[in-house]
Amino acid sequence: MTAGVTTDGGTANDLTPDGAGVLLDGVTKRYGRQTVLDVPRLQVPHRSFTVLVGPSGCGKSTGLRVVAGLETPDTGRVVIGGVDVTDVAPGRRGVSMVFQDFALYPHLTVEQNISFSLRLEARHDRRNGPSKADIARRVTEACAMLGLEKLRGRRPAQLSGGERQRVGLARAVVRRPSVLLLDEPLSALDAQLRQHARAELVRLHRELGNTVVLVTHDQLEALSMGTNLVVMNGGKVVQSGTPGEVYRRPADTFVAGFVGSPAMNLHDVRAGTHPAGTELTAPGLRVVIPGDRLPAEVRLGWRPGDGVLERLPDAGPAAGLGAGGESTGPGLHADGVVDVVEFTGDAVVVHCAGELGRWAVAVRAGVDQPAVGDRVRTRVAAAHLHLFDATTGRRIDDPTA
Amino acid sequence: MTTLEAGASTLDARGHANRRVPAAAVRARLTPWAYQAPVLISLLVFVYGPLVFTMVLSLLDWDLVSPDRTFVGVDNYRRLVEEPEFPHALARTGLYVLALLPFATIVPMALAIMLWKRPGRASDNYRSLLFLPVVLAPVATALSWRFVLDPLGGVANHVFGAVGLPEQDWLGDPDTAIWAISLITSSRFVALNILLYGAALAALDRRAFDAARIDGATEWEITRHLVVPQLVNTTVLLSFLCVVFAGQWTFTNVAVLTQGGPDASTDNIYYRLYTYAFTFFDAGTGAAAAVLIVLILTALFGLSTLLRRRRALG
Repeated sequence: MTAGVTTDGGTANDLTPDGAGVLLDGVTKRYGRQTVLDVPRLQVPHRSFTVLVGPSGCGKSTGLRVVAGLETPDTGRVVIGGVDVTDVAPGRRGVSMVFQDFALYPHLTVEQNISFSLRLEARHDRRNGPSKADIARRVTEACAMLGLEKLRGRRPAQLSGGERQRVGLARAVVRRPSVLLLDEPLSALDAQLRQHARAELVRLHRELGNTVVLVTHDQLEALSMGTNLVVMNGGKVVQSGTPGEVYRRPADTFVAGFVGSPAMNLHDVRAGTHPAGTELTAPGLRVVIPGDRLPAEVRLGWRPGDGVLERLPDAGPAAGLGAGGESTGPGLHADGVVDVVEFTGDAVVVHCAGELGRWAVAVRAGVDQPAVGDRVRTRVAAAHLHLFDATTGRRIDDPTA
Repeated sequence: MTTLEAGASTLDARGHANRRVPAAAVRARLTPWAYQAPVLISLLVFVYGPLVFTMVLSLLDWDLVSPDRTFVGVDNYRRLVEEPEFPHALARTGLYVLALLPFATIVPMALAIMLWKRPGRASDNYRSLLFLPVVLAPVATALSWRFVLDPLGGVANHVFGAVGLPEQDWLGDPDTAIWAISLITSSRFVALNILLYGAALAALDRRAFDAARIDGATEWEITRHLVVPQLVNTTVLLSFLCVVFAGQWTFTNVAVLTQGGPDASTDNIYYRLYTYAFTFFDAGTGAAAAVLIVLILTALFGLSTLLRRRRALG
């Protein structure tokens, strides 16, 4: 069934042509005085599963609607598959879209919903449009692909949320779009179904072999599904790259705080000179790192999963160590008291409070997990520390250069 | 209901006078009735009472004022059915309904869709202007139409003369009078039904139209295949209301402009009823006509419900 859809598209085994995919070039969009979208250049690679992620109001949905042609940009060009489509009607761009609330046609059956676009195409172009048999075959394919065979005669009101979502997807893929746009397609589903649907979407992308652009505010969804991640904030693209890159090397403190759960711990520190490089200090913290090309005010970040916890005896040397922030080796050391312990299944997120402020450490559940009130020391290896310029928020990649 | 039965059965089962229902329970049982009393009493006085009174009246020969009234059985009904006036008025009412149906459905639907497609200040202004006929006093409107349609010096004939069309005696000619009355009445249907179609349109999911645009639909195709089919239920309802109100809403214009003439060509069942009761002071026949109208409308409503149920099944 999948072979039919991809090979009939005619591009399944072609080499990626240059300039294919989606390009937003100098696109801006304003509503009144507010600029909701300002993208100097954004390339969505051909056949990628690109996820636009950001908090609500960051412009990601507007960006998607601009690509679809439902919104006209105030400036700039939209290029799809190498063709400037800025002035092309939504129906002629070779894109289809799945909406957050599915936006099915309520008075039509599942089958009629799915075949709607094909029937229009046949009507618009009697010579080259799909024949009745073509339409029937393609609808059957799409239904098979999404497991809708038994629901073809139903109306949207008679379907569950998950079924509606599949109809929305079938309606989109039946057109064999070169670009499939998904606007928060999972947020209307309950948690259990969402997990399943996430995997289904990834599978669908593999079978279709086309470009998928998904919009979500859920960073976990973004990390787990995409081959390409675009983080947006305030109408601008803050970072784009593979999920791994974005996770490992967040471009600024916004990305650092937004991507990853629990969020990255961030501390304001002062940079001072040290014979071995630079010494970063904050109350309850002292870190020495190599290199000296750092501004005076730095934000220090580390992933909760990169922290190692060790329990300290209730009194005695531990108190002294913590208060002074004595470094006993390279990397970060911080002492504190366990404030909240969050059990998440495989892991336990331990929220600590100390002179440094508050931070979270994720440790494996079970064996020796700390309890509320325990005094603990957190260690983070120097290699796992992220440095950001405190004034601009930008990442400092290599303090030695 | 249940509390009453439960209380009664307790008493029956025990059969003891000393097993008294507590005062609080009595109060709890009476409170709902106390709350319903105002509505029940006014319904009785203003709806069901007159209904029964009308039914009784329809069996009498009475002029509403004189002390002598005679029970005549179904004579009033028989006369209504046998003599030509009432069946004629019924047929004319049917004609009114046919003439008004497009103005109750297609015209306001088209206008409502146009107003809905281009929301904004202009749309709001048009909406207010189009709603005006509902607010205007019916008799005053009818009177001003008399000046417009006056065969000698009326605006309508001025306009017709100016463009070289033959002048008409709009309300005096049996061939034009019923259409003139229908057209005058139509503005009220158009005005009110724009509002009702507007409400139905506001309930539609606009995102589905975005989806249709991406599916390649033109604005006309969206209207034709997505918007109009979703207005079918509203249209059925408004058609039925047109059947019910066509006679009532033309009544004012008939009474003011033509009194049913010329040649009874603009007569309708409500005007006929009014003539029986308040021109000929034959209250019994008027009441019989009223009962017949209710029966006819009930039959029509039953038929349409039956048809809709069958269609829903099929």
